[in-house]
Amino acid sequence: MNHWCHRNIILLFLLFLSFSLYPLASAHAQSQSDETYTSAARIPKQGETVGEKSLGLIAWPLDLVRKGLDESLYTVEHYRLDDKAKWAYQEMTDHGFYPKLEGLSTFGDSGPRADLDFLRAAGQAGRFPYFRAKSGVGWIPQALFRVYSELGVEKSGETGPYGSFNFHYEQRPREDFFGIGPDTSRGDSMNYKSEATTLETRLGYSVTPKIDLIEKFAYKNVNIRNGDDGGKGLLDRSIRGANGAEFLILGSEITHDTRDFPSDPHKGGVERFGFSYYDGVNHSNFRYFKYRAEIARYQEIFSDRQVLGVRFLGEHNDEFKGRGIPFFEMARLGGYGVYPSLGDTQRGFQRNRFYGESLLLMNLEYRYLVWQHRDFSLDAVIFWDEGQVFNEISQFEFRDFRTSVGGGFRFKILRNVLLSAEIARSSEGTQLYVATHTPF
Amino acid sequence: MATAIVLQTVLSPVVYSAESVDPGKLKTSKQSVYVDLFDQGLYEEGVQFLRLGDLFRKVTFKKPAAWDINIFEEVPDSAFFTNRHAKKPLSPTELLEGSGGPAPKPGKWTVTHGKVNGINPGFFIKDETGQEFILKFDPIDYSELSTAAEAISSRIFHAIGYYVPTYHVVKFRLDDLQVDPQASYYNEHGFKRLLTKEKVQDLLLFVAKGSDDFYRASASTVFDGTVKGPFDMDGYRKSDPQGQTPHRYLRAVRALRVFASWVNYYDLRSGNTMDVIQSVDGTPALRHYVTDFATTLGSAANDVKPPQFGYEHVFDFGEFFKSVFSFGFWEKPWQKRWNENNRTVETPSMGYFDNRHFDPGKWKSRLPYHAFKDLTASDGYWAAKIIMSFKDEDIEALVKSGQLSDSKVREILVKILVERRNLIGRYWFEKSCPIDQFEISKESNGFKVQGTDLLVHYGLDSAEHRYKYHVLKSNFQREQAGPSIVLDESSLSQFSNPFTLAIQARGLNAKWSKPVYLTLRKEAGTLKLVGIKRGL
Repeated sequence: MNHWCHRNIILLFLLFLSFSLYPLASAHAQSQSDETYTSAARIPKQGETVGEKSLGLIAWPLDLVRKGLDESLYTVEHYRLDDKAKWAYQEMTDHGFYPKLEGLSTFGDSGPRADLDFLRAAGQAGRFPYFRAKSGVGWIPQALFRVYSELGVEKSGETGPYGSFNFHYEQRPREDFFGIGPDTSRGDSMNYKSEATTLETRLGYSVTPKIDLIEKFAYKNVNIRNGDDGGKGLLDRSIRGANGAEFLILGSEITHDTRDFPSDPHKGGVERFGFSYYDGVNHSNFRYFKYRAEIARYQEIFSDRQVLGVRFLGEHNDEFKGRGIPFFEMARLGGYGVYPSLGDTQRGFQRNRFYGESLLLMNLEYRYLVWQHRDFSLDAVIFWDEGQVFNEISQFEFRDFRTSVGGGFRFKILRNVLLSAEIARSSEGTQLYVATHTPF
Repeated sequence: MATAIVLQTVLSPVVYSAESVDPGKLKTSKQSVYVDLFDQGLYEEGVQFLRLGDLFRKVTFKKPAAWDINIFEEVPDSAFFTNRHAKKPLSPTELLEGSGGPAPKPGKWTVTHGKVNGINPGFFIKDETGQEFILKFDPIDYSELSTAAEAISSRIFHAIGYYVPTYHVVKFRLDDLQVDPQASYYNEHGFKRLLTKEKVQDLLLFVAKGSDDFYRASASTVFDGTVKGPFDMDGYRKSDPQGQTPHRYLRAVRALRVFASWVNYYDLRSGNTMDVIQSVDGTPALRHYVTDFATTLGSAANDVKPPQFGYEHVFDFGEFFKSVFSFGFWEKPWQKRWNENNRTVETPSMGYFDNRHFDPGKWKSRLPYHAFKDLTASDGYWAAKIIMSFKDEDIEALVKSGQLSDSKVREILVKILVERRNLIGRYWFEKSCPIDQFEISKESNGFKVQGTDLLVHYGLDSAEHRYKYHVLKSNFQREQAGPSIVLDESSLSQFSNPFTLAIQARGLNAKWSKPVYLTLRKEAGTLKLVGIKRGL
């Protein structure tokens, strides 16, 4: 090959090299964009070191518990156990059987309860839509046993008459009694067992959707014995009613309810006035009048998240011609106050802590929304209860008012309280309450 | 003609990608809403104080840097993420196509079984070609709400770079449906029952129907591959020998929070993801899918979005305690917005979706994953860059996929997404240093390092910006009006090799931004950018 060929080959090679390297060369001087998505790592780590993993050592035992809970939750969801449980409950209620929880609101005081709707069970509820035929039983170990029945007619519209015949038996094996009046001491507690049977007829009439009149006629038999709690004193037999009593009761009540939503009122209120006449029968030497007035008001303040609720309650039992009032029918104060025939709401004090012929009570609550998710919500509540019992009106003194304060949370679904947990503090200690509704 | 010879010797190890996988070794994880709610909503919120690493981060406010980023602060393609629209803009047709899955062919569809999970009503069908799809419907009073949201948001996520199923808006008549004799479903009581045509009709009574007698649904293909259950947002699949990196350290997972804030994807959680083993070039590869977009935009799948969605986790202890100790006097942003809206939803087909009181830094998904809490400013910046790469026309094209019948609603939705894009861009660019897209060129007296101020580039800030340059471990400092600097030869000769150039920016009357650090190397008469690092 001659010299000319060698030179041309070299030139051609250099030309080829320049063209092939040109894109690379110009790109390099241009920008980072070609290498932007390179896989060259900044931090060459693939996994946590043993040291890093050990920083979570304290939580490992809890992680094991969590694994078990996760498996349970997964099983519930995978096998649709929650839907099936709702279906089972729905089937039971469709056939007239209502399993429930019976509670006295103080933490730990709860037990099973079941109601039976006879018309539903017989498949006749559709045929007799305004009739009621129900029975039930409830039990709280060492606190309450009760059986009840109701036969009645509901009103057919928003107004009109309604009525029922009721039977109620309840036994309370261990009720505390501290004496009568505002100055009793917890150290003076006595324990008694009560057994009460009531047969009652109620006739009602809704004058308007907001106003109800009720007349009642009842027979009530109460037996009182020494209580099952051997650690406390036996009931002083000289106390009026310590041997029980039998009554005929005639009563009236009028209610005006303007609450916008009864289970979670933001506006409106309730006024309730009742009068009853108790006449002892057979060997029961009691005769007295019971007057009871209740006014509750609810108001949104500043916003609809914030509600102020206040309730005033007064009760006076007036003996007739010196015939006396049994202690177990007196006005009572103490506890959460949602169960019939137990003390009115004075949180922070034991259930039925105070007995007296008369009662004055104020409950003030400030409720405000703290959490909401779809149909679920949670309210915080701060409350102040102020109440006293006394016998004669002349014995009323401001210094006898007992104060309790506290707070808590109420979990709601579509404005129905599902669970309420509250803690109250008074001069006699602290009480925790768990309930399925509000005290007012 | 530049004659520099490039010799790129990459000495750093490779970012993990966990692509190839042994299908036999991977155990299938379980999907459960209750487990997600309990684990993330309650358990982790309490137990995090016992994990010393998390406690340390809470106390010191330090967040760990992401592990899946390269030397230029980008996320290379992986089993989680593929760089798409930000790398090379997709055309309107490509945006509309999404991940490219087919739509059911019009004709007779055979219902094969009911939906197993989720709160939307729906069922599985096969079209005449035998392809299987999942059909989901709109709530009865909100026609187009969730079907549009699913079509639009899934395409947005695909364009961003995630693996998503394709959702098509389809229409059909009841007569187009026939039911497989073996078809079954779970009724509202949790029992498995035979699915009949009458039952399908009953189910369709509770979904929105068009005035033209057609039912509208979103149809997505069933996964092509072996489904292995959802992926853990924070942890990793222990049976996967390749993927031992806890996902909370991955930018591709953390940044989901930013992308989710754009489309208001409130129900972003492990249960709405899916790991699928698919064949890629003949090799089994794991792909992490994000699924179920019916809870995006103004939709909550079976209803309009409740007002608190996006503002609070389902159990938000921080917000809870603020509420408790403010005694009800603090009006939360979502409550204020809801009241300003007169507590109504004006547009049923769009639901409850606007930018009033939208704060990109405070947006929250249903559950508080550690991955989202660990989101750093540079993670957010990276995500914001991708979001800002979507032009107004791109968003218009994406919204078209929702097939909203009212053009006014389409306009409003585009406007909201455009505004939201800008709010997110501005927020995260201001949190970091907004200088990017660096170019180095030879000047007569040295090298020019040119950057682009993304705040100015995208018109997010009209104020005059100033820039500060500082070479670490040297006395070199400059402050000037433009985002470029010339490093002359005499200065260069004094710097170490490689050296780090820190750049900060600020607007008028604003503070200096966090710095971005450029690692530059002098090589054979050239200056090469070999690394970028942004403040966390």
